[in-house]
Amino acid sequence: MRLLVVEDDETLNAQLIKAFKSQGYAVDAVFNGEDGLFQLQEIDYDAAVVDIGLPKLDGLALLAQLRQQKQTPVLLLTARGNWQDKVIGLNAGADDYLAKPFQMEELSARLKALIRRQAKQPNPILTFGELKIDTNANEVLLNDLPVPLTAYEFQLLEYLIRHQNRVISKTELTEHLYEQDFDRDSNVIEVFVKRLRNKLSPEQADKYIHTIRGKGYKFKYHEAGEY
Amino acid sequence: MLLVVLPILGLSLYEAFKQQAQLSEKQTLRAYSYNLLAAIEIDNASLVNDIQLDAPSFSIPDSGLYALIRDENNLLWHSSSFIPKQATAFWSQSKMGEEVFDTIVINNRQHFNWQMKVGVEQQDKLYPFTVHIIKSTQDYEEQLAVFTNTVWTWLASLGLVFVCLQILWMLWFNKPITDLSEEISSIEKGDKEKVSNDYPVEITALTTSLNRLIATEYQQRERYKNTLADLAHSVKNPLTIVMNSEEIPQSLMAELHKIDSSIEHQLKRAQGGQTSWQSGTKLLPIIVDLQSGLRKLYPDKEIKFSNQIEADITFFGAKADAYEILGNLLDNACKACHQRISLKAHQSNNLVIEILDDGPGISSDLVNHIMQRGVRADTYSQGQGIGLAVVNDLVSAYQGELTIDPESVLGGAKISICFPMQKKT
Repeated sequence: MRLLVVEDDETLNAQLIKAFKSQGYAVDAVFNGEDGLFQLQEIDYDAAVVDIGLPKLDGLALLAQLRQQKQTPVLLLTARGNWQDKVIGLNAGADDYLAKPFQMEELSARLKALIRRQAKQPNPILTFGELKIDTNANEVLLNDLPVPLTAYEFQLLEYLIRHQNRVISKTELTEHLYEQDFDRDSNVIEVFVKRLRNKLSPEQADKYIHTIRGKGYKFKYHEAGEY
Repeated sequence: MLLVVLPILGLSLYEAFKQQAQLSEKQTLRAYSYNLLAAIEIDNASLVNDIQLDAPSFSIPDSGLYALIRDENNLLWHSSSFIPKQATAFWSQSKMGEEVFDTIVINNRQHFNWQMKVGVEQQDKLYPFTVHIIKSTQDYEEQLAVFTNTVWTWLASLGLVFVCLQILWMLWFNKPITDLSEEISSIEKGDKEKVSNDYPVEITALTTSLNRLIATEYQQRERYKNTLADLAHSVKNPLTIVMNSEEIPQSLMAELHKIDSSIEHQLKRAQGGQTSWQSGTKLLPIIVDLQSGLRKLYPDKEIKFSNQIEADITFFGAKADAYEILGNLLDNACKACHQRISLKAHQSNNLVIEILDDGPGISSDLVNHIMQRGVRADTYSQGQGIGLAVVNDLVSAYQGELTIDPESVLGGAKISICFPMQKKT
């Protein structure tokens, strides 16, 4: 999952990047509204955290312009915690709203809920037969036993599940798993997919993740006897 | 005034016309008498009966115009128009040469009577007669009736025109005051921001001062709001950084939350409450705004809001306070409800708002704690209590009252707020 952080306070911006990266997100960060709007228009982020009080273009104006083109989920951050400002933000197109000061756990939980809602999967625990994915705890269970996944492997699996039954190209996966300045090599994705398949179903490689030749990958789970 | 002057005028005109008409009748009868007097002849000590009068009405029986000659006891002659049905002997006598004009009743009908006692001399002997010219009052009464109708119709029309003119004059005279009153009412309702400049010089000073007061109040409020927002921004960013710093031990977290609650509480207190100029805020658009925002915050619940509120219900206070009060109450209801939230508002002398939900209700302990006097909102822990305490603070700032019923017809809590003296204008 790839996020954009638009926050002018450098220390807070750095804190947000650090916290999101530790949860396995690919994070891009900018410090003013104009850059934020440009990034959001150019790249399909899975979600964005936008401060209202931004230099050059404030958060609400950014949101209004963005909503003319895209529906990227946006969580607004603001120092103003009153309802009049909350409603202005929400009705301008924000999907959620968090007043400062906040704790990173709350921001993280709200962001996850936002991504779930966007994928129309409101339940944080997704079950595919013996495979269970807890998106809140970033945990994968196979037959109720934890599967040790790296942060990138988990993000790859989550992205495929969030867009299940749709073919995802390697380029799209790369864009959503890595930050802008990452040296992209599509072979890395192949390696991750191979590792993931081994960990999830060593006996049947394409039980969950199917390779669509020349196009990419697709997460599709068939109940027993459904073939 | 009009009710006194016009009837007096009408009566005076009526009396003047009546007297003039009677005089005219008297002169007519007197003129007839000259013809009669000239025709009287005595022959052999008795009246010659062959008297011819010029007016044809004297020859038509019962025409209403009669001529009579009598002595003290007997009717000596009468015109052929007169059909005697009653004795004339008891009719009044007058002195010789004296003219009398009065009314008499003949055949149950009123008649004018002109009479004069005259003496006709023959062979050195004086023969006295009383000559009567009698005319029915019918023509006179008809004339009087026509005049009366005309006079009263004209006077009534005059009165009506005068009343209309007076009303128009008063409306024109009072128009600037009425316009000003309407404009102030519109400003109070929040439909206008200031009083316009189209007023006569006499009240321009008042409207200018009023506009200055409104503008100063607005600017002061905006400056206050912006200063508080800047303060919030400058304090809350560092607070967020500190709260999320790995170097801060968890044991300090509770203290940091207290600092945050205290700042938030004081900011809201500073912004809220009544001011010297209280313009109105329509509640319905705020409620619609809030509910649309809350649907985004609670998408999984698919909340059904039902509103019973008329479009002109107005809260006489700051818009931000209306947002804060209703936002907190609706947010609490969204948190608590299963799916249904009902909002009712009515305004007579007071403004009353009720919010009900179908959730589990509020515990009586929490209700008692919130309603306890002197408990500050920022001493509450997170959850439903803090929102209600903020509402309680704000409602108190408007001399209002917050009532919490742990249960309602929908099953959950019912929160009522009543703002006194918030009558619709």
